[in-house]
Amino acid sequence: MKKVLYAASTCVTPLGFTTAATFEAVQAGQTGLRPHWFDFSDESFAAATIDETWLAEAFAPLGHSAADYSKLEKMSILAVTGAMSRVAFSLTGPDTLLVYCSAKGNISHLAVGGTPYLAQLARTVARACGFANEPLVISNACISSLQGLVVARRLLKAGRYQHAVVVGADEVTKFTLSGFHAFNALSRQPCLPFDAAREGINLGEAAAAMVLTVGPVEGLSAGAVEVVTGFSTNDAHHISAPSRTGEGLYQAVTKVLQQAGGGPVDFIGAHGTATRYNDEMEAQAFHRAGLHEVPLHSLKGYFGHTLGAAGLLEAALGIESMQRSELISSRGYTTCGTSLPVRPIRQRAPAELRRFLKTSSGFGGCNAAVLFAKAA
Amino acid sequence: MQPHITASCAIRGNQIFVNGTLVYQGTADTPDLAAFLVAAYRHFGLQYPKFFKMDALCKLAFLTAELLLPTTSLAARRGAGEVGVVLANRSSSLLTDLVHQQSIQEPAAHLPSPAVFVYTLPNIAIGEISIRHQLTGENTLFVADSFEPEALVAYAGELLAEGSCQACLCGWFEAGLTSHEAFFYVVEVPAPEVPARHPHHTSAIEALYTQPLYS
Repeated sequence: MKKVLYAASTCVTPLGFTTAATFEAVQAGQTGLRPHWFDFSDESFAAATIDETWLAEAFAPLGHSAADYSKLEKMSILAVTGAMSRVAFSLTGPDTLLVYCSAKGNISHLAVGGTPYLAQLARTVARACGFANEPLVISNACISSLQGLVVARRLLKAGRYQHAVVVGADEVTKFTLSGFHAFNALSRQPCLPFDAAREGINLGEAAAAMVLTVGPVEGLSAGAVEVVTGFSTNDAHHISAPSRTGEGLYQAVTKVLQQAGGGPVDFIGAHGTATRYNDEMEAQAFHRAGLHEVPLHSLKGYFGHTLGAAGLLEAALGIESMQRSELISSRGYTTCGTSLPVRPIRQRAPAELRRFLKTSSGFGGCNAAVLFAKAA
Repeated sequence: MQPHITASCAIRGNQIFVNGTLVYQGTADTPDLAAFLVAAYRHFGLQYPKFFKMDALCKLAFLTAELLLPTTSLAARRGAGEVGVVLANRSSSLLTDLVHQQSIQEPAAHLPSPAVFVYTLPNIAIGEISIRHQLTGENTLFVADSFEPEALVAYAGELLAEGSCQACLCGWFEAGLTSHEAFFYVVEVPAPEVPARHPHHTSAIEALYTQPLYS
């Protein structure tokens, strides 16, 4: 069977515009979370946003007209262009699929009378980056880009394409922030995933792009990372509350582990939004799957919840973690805050990391799980 | 045995078709989408109070699935993660996005509602259908300019081929600024006693999709 291999990634985040720069900032203990004020409240909300000036400086050398693109489009183009530049093979032929994933796209345009369509956004990014094929667009709430990886892996495995570029992108908007606020799901302070004192999420923005390949490609070493398998499930329980038993996530994780033929998982990139219900649900699912002793982190303490971008951003940083043999700590965790304990990573540490499980869950009851492994 | 399309349901304008047959026609006093869908819900005697909480996009998807699934063997397969849901749409959740935007547009009149906000995602429709029919398998929401079956056929075909699901609810649902439409079909490996209806090919799906227009 064909192996689907990870070839490269680029993360565009408040902490850096490459995966390496973002990873190093995280390992240096930085966070993108800052107080932000919105016009409907006198109090601030912690959120992680990308500096517009910094973005403009990075975007200018690409040679596109800055005025033609929204902030989200610039972030996306920067991420995709970056990832494409990191592989030695061409990605602009008919053998490459672009999978564009976003929960809300250019939703901020609604406030100024625009009508944002996700397919239009994806096409704008695809054309700017020179793709031959029409992009495939996925909008599955907060699992969007991890589900993008699941879909891309299947289509590559089926032999439909040689390469795929999966990109996840979402931005901080008043639209989403006010909605989560109405849900009482926001924490004004930096979020505390899996901690006893956690109060809710922070929002963040990011674009992350990842190149996958099944082609016979030069330059991929024996330590290459394989996208072993991935599944999504639905809780079939509630449209906005996670299953109390973690059923859907448990099923997704179980399917992944079964298809991978068992074996240890060295660390988990959890969703860890820092709401009461989400983190409890994840703890339940990981216990049921027998993974509660596996070190895990949530990266929401560095980036906030980047919605549709979160899965791919966190997968890219998890792979960087594998390749550098260095665990990322779960920022914001000090005291166990779930009824069944899990093992958030307390500090950056060297470790041999061969197998990495990434999970995401979202509104609509959706869950996704993907296993990455270093090829033998 | 190859997977086949065993049933389809389409909602266009104020008409509803099951397997190409007109089963409901709205009246002139159901001018907007939500009113038409509520009238159809009552016509078919459906009993699911959560329907009334849903936004128009979810009502559209829910009703299409509700009329389609009982004509298939999906009920026998559900609950074991064996039914996938792969849907596509154009405008995402635009109509409800506009309602939420209206509630936050003026800082002095800031009054967002969680009951509205939860419907500002297109895959909530998959969640509603999954809750109703206890479908727990693979779920994906694609967004495209128009109904193009290629991606659905490719992806659902792969899910079935690798055994990740035994049946898949597929299709297109759209509630936009000026029009609405839904077209769902079930693809599965039929039981031997079930006559195979249509091959799981793009051309067969396109024929089914256009069929109700000419009924």
